[in-house]
Amino acid sequence: MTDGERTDVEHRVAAAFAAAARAVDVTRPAERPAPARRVPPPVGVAATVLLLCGSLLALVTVFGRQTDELRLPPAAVTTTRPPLAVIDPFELHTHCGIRETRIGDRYYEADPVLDDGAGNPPSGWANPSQVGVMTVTGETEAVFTDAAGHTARFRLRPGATAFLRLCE
Amino acid sequence: MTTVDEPVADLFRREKPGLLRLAALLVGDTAQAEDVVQDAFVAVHRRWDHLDHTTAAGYLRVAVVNGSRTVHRARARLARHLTRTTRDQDAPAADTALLVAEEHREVLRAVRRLPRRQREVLVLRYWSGLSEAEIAATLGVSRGTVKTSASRALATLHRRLGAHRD
Repeated sequence: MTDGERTDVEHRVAAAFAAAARAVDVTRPAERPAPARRVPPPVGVAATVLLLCGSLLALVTVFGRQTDELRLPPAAVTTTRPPLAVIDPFELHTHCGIRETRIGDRYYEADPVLDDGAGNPPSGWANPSQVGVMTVTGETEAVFTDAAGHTARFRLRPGATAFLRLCE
Repeated sequence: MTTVDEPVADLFRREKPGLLRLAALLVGDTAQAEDVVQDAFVAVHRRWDHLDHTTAAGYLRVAVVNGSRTVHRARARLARHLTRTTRDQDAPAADTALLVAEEHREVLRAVRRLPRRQREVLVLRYWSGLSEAEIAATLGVSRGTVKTSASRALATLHRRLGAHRD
């Protein structure tokens, strides 16, 4: 199909793709530093390691456990992963303090637990629930925030099928 | 010393920008596109001795399309665990979406709502500029399927976008 035969929709699609593609920074990967040592192991192994480092870094970024030992190329750290899911609005049960929550069919524990020491939510939190936004930031982490500035962090309880305790 | 590294490095320099953009259009997220392209080059490097080097670019393109599908499958798996998500898992990432004009964003949103194969056909046709035969080879489908997918995709987009245009 030649350009002259394109319909209006085809033109708009092509223009949108071109605009989105232009927004992609393609310079960063080309500037990744090569491994410092280019003596044995062979160059082929070094190149493979460089490429694998990118993938490894992605995994590290997802799970948030970057360690100094990895010494990954700094250029690859410049990207930020989007949240896995955003639930807005999210009604967080606060009646007995912020201790746990359920997102979909997964159960999470507050980390740390937020309460007033007497089994109630801390001062300033609504009771029995607070409406805000729950952001699933990783495979095992989620963060609740609200318009009042509250933040509560949660960690997944893998395999859990029920709350640890009931709050009535 | 004769190694595969120089030709692969040349291929990397030559093809990486286009493949990164292709992956970004398919997965809607630059960081994940980076991973997809890296994985594709690792796969090429591993199989370099068994590849027809004249078709390495095509092999990379197929690897990027397949890698992008893996990303979508992973998102779908996660979405199944979450019952009340308000964010479209297929939506383009903010870093991309915010940098294009609203008119283009409207089109991109409409494209994201299309079935996966239709999206892939549109991207390969209108971004990569591939022929029907090349798209068919990349996606592993017949030319008829490519033609049908493109036709249905454009018809859907015409319905969704046409009313907003003079």
